Amino acid sequence: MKKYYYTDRKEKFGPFTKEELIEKNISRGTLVWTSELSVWKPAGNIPELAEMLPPPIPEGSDFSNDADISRDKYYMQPHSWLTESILVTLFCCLPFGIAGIVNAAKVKSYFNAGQIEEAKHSSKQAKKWTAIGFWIGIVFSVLYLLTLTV
Amino acid sequence: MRRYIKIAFVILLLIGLAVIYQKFDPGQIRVFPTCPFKLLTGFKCIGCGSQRTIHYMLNLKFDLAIRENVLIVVATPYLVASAFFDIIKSEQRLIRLRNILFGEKAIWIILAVMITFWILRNITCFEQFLL
Repeated sequence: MKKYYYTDRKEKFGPFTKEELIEKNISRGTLVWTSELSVWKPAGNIPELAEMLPPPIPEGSDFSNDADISRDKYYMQPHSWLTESILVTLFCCLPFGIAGIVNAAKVKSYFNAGQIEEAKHSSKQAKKWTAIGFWIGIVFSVLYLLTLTV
Repeated sequence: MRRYIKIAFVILLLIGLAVIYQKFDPGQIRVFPTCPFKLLTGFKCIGCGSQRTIHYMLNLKFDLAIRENVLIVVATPYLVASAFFDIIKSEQRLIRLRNILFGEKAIWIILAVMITFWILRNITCFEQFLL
């Protein structure tokens, strides 16, 4: 059975079945997520939910809400920097890559919990630690090469 | 446009590095950087032996590669898959596979494996089991 979650953009609620979700009085603009989606989507854009929801109100307050979401391209998961942080951990020989990997895990867990802002923050942290590890690795390699020429 | 220049630059850099690491054995020639962690502490880090491993892998000598750093050999196909998923940004297709291989649980398992490997390879009596 497919499980659905919805978010009020602060917290995630669920899991619910499709029927339970509809009973929560969600609107077409409510952000919904299932494990098969990579982004949080408005319920109105998920075919099996859209058909169970009341049709969109032509002129209503709900409408501006929908426009906001489409401008954000829904809520894509922020880049986790997982690939980069593993590479830095393996090849730059420094613990900064580990901090990157921990933050990559946080990006995924916050995103799946509907906490988009926190996920974005963790993404920035992951980027920061990966970059620090990367540049220290580069600087060290250059210094090492310089000592050889002396 | 800027994105494509960036990608082209990275690909050229990777090809260049691959040629260098294929031709020269970091175990024999001194110009390849040594590990800062090992230099400072005397202990091996997670990536120690990675340059030799890559040299052997590029020469398709996998039996020698796993002796230098088995984790790098195991991690290579995983990282290739990870980079693939980063680039295609699939929305629906393969999403379940992505959630399993690169989900939160997977990342914690990877961390645990890495740190266990790091500790074990510095304990002499375990060294032999890590190939």
